[in-house]
Amino acid sequence: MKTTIVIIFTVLAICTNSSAFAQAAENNLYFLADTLNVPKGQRILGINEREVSLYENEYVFFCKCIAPHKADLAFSYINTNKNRKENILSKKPNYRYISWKNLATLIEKYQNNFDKVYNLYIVEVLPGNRYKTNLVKLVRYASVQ
Amino acid sequence: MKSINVKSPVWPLSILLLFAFSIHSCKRENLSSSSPASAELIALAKQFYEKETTSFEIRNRQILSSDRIDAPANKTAIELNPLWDRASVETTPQGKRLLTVPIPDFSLATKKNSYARKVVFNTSGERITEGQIIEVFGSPTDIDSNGDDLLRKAADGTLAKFTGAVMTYNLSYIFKEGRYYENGRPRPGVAKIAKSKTIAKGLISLPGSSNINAGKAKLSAIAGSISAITPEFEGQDCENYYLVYIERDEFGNVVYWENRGFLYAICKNSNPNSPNPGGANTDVYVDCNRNVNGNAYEDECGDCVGGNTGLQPCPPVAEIKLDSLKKYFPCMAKLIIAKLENDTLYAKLIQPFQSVYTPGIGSINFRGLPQLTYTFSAQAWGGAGTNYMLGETLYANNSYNSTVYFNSSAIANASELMLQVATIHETGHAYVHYYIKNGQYNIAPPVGEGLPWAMGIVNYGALLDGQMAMGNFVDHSILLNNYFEQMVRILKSVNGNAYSDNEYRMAALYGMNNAGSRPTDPIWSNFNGVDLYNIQKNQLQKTYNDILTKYGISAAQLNTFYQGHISNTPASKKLPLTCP
Repeated sequence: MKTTIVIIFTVLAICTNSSAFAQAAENNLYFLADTLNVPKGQRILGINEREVSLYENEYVFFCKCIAPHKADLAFSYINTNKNRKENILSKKPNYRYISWKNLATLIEKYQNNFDKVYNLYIVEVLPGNRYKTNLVKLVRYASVQ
Repeated sequence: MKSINVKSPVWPLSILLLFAFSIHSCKRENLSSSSPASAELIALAKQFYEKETTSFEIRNRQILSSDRIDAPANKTAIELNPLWDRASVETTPQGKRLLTVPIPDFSLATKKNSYARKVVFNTSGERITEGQIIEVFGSPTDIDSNGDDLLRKAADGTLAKFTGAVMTYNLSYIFKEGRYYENGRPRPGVAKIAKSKTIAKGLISLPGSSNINAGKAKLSAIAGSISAITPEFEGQDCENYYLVYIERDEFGNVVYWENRGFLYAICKNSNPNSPNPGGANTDVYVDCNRNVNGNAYEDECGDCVGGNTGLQPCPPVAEIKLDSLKKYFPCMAKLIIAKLENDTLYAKLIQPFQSVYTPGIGSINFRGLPQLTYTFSAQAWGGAGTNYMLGETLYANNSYNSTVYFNSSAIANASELMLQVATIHETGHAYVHYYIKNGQYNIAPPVGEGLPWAMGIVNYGALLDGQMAMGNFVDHSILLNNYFEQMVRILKSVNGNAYSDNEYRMAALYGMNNAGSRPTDPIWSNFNGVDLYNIQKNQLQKTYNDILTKYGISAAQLNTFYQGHISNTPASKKLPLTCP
């Protein structure tokens, strides 16, 4: 019973913590994920290349720059729409896109708290000059013994 | 009233002038001012071209432009080679001044379609402002007699009375846009060059389409085999290319599809010096059931199933991935892992990672199926901190999957019993993660597996967050409270009476009181003045101590037991060095 109370307490703490951060999250970042126009060997990220949950779409940056530094930095979003439909535009959204260099700096600074501070939107370049934009969440890893 | 004197000598002259004027008017639309380009302008265009294409290594790129990046290495590299010495300055009907450069001809393997193409640069004064490659596909009559004029009009985007397709590419020959015109009116969809492709493995996923069920084409199939069209290619490894017209819905799903005719075939042994045929696209496939954009695929048994076949895939081979463990530590794989897999209770622990069944998800494309990988790494083993790690498990909050890393030092030095414990323990981490992740999606975890305590009432999403921050605490709490007795039963079942019950318990308890290091997020150290981390750490230790008390196990007994199985293990208890 005591363990149950501890877990509930923890959950409440996490929820409170998240909402506190969410209120402060005013910074929207936009990153252009283009794998179509970059040769495979020169890409900094891969899209849906790893096995993830059915509902999730994942952008993996080839950089073990987040704790516990054993797997690549990744962002994902959940799409539970019927048939996994997406909102696709035929024109590149007119955002001020953040560079990989600046994004990496922010990741290095905020680590697992990154998306409590920033809202990162990834604009994915699709074939035929089409684009889809999604708010993504930092993929967090745990190494347990 | 005045009458017209048709006999007047002025009339024939007027009619002649009117006729000449009308001819001139009709021709004016087709007239173009074309003149040789100056050497300076060509040099500027070359410079522009080099700058735009160098990064894409266009001169060494694969034969198929749009899929060259991922093209198999066996594709033949062909140069584009614009014919700079034939560059000319042209003016479009709407007055644009262009510098156009022909590209070497590539003859289509059909008499029903023809095409013209050029590198087209926009100019402003003596500057190059933009460059692209334009292709116009149409009837041989139109193209052969009027190709250059159509290209000029295509640059304007006005193609009166024209029926056919206009493709534009960037200078690296990457597809930008394709329009299909009927009597000068552009249709709403896109025109592309597509190759027919029989899917060898796995479900097809349409590039640009997020819906694997999309692709309801109005035509039932692309034309038949290569030999049916071009007999000289029979027996060769060739791919057919077609002009296609595609309409998509707002979500990118193909809703209408037309094959506008075969264009050419590319064979593996094509002459590498022949001209590049140009733009290609892989948006349209033929599945193994020969349905356009169908969903049929070859299953694990090599049968064409799914889609319109009406056949179900064969059951997948149940397997925990052993990665390189089997190669480098065959005895670990054979004497520990394989042995455990024969145990009924342990089989339940790995069941989620073996079955194709994932509650509420099914087996679509096998994506999302939980995966468990056993591998190894170098981890702490003794030393100043006397920290002996048997293994660790890595998982992410967006995946059911886990990777278990056994400590290579433990494999060499710990007893077989403790390696069994390590396997059960780390697999337990993977199982708990799968369990929590499943719950996050409100998918009921499997019934009858011992619903972990408190899980019925907590928010799985928050629990998942907690697991990411305090994984050792969350997992070990669940394992101690719900699976400790099962762990002991597994060990007893596998080893029989080799050890006492308390020895099995001591083995199973190893590492279970590890709450992990303090998270960096300050909320865990000070939540309204409360040290959450300490509360959790103490709670876990209490659960652990309660088990010791319950079974009368002392700290000294634990210490002695672990010395004999971990830090100072006799050779007789270790894994053998060779394992046939």
